[in-house]
Amino acid sequence: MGVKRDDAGLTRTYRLGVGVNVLLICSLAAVLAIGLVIVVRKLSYRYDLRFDVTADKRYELDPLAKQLLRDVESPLEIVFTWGYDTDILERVKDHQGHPRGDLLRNYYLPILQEAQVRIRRVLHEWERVSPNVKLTVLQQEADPVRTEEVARDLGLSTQEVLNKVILRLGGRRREVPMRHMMVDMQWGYFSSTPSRQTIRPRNPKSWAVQPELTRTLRAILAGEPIPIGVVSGLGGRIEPGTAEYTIFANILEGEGYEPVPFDLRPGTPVPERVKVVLVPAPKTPLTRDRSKILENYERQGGRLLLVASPRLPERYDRLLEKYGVSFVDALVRDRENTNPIRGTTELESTKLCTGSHPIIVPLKNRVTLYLGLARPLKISPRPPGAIRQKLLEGSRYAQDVAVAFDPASGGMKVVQGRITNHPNACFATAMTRDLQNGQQARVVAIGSASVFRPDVMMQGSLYGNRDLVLNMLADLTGRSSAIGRTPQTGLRERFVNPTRLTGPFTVIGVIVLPLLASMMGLIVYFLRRS
Amino acid sequence: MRRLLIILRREFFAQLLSPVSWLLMTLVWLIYGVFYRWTIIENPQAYGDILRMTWQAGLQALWIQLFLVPLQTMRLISEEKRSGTFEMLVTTPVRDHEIVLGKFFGAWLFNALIWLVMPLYACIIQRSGGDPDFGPVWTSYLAVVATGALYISVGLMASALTRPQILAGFLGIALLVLIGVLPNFWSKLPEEGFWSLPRGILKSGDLTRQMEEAARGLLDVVHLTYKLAFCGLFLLFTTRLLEVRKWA
Repeated sequence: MGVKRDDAGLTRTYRLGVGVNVLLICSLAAVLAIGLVIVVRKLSYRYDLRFDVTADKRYELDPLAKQLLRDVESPLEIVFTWGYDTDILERVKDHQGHPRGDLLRNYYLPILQEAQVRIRRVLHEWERVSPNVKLTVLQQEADPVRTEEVARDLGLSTQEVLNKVILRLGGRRREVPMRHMMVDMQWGYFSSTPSRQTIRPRNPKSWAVQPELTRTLRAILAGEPIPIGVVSGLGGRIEPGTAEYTIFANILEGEGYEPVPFDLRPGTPVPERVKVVLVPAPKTPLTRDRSKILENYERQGGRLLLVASPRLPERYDRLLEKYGVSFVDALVRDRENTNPIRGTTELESTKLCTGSHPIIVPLKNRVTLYLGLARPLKISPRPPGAIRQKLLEGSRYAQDVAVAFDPASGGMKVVQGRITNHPNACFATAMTRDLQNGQQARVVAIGSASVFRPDVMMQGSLYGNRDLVLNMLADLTGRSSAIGRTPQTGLRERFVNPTRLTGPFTVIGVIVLPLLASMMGLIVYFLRRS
Repeated sequence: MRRLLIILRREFFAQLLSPVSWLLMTLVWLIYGVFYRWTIIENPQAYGDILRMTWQAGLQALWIQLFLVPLQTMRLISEEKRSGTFEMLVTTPVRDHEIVLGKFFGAWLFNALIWLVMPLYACIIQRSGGDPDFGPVWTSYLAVVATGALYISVGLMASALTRPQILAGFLGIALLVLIGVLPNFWSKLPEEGFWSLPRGILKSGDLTRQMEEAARGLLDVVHLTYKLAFCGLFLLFTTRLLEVRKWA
């Protein structure tokens, strides 16, 4: 019996063989492709396979941390241990009270893995920057004996060191819990009985690894807390005793400062130990006696951070006249530096920073500042020995809207019809003055009280106000290494004025380019026809 | 290699000298330009946020790719079959994989050319006083072009499967919706039990998430590997399809 062949002379078995061959090769290729993706993904848990191509390397080590690390002169010990801490174990208990391994492995381990990769990456970079950094990273499950030793060395229990980054410099110690670096993390819990509700853990919405670590580094390197005098009893924005002051004080303490509230009592000088005096926009004008205390302090080489607000009458005239500047009774309107969602008098932009003063250089064009209502400064001819450097200014379209204060209540009202152009109106300036005793007085004046608003000063805020205030304090206290910019967790970092882009983009992007393409199509069409 | 380059050049110039390709380019640039303009100017959520703009623009580009690529690839093989030139091509001393790769790279080059508007728009913004970070712009472009490679390989396979162009186009769109849109719904699947594995697979194929990372300025090797590995797989399928058809 002969073998059946088709028109092409091929047998059925041969055709079947080709089909099976193709099927096998395709299946093998599919397995290989999926396998390759799985292997690369597994590798990415161990090694960082992502490359940061942003101009400011926002996902890499931030310049402030590098600058701080370069100044580390004695050994800085960093211990990072991770594993299932008591809190996590409590969340996955079965009905007998034992933690369930499957839940730990399936739900919590991937989250911890991701967190440790991110934290370790930053800490390893730190180690590379400074030879004085001694880093120890431990996984509790993998190395329980060593973890216990390290905990004992720190004078803590194993559970107390878990999921924390602990920094030790000399006798000082600071720690950052891993949880602080995970923004909006849902840790969840698993019920031991099916009748009760279970909430599964979810990855954090964003990460704040670098900001938290840098903040802690800045705090530990500050050494002994630097006392900052905060004038109280004036009813200003951050009056000691208020909730806003508590938040502000917490921020200062976290950064290595010690806020010292004090009254400007006639006859009592500014406390000797304070390095800087902050006058937080007094509600009522300073009396002559109180102003005199500040003048005497400044005359002895004191450092002042003067905050004024267009809503409040205080102008610090006697203090500022020595520098040839004065606050104007007005608020600034600047359409180029506002968010259109808010009004034109509420300033918010990245274009506000100006000049080349060390306070401002790290922030210029990098952060969005929220100033709210701002009071302009009038710059007069420079008195001998005084140096002024602009820190914040408006655009060339800035205008002054005159305001007046009710002498009885101190309340502010806008003077209708008195609007004057004030191109590049200045809102903040840093000033120094040579004194007769060979010393130097330093003053930073800022015409916005909203700069200290807690919601814009908080860690993780989209605004750079925290860095601005901390840079001002660091400059006044002489901590130049602490001047910088902590990386922001949000995406919003660069601010442009989109209304300016409308015209050019519409013309080129929406009209010219499609028109060019269609013309090319027509040319090709007629060329082919001919 | 020389034969591959010849086919590549022929395919690229065929696209470049086709009025339909320029019509596609006009449509894409017009639609994308209008979307982009809306993103940078009229969307209050993205106000002043260049990275958010890049991200939204990248997502819009992905959606446009979903319809652009099948239109671009539907004629690649089916047209040759319909006009009878395919038989001539396969009888020349060119291997199947050279035909497939040549056609793929030709179409991919043209696709990459179309999406050069992404960095071009960033240049316009820069010239108009904006301050875009070009790192995220280039990673977004790379993500869109890499996704284009994956989509083109799928479109090419659809074109090899059918003879009528229109059918190839529809099949391409259907397959791309499966690959490009379906994985976005991974979060809707239960985390435990039978669905945990499909959930994990769909999650790693979520191109929207990958685009988000790229638009933030992160070049992720895992994402690139995913796109290129599956692109290679579909190209292999296409090669084998041609081979099977030859014997059928």
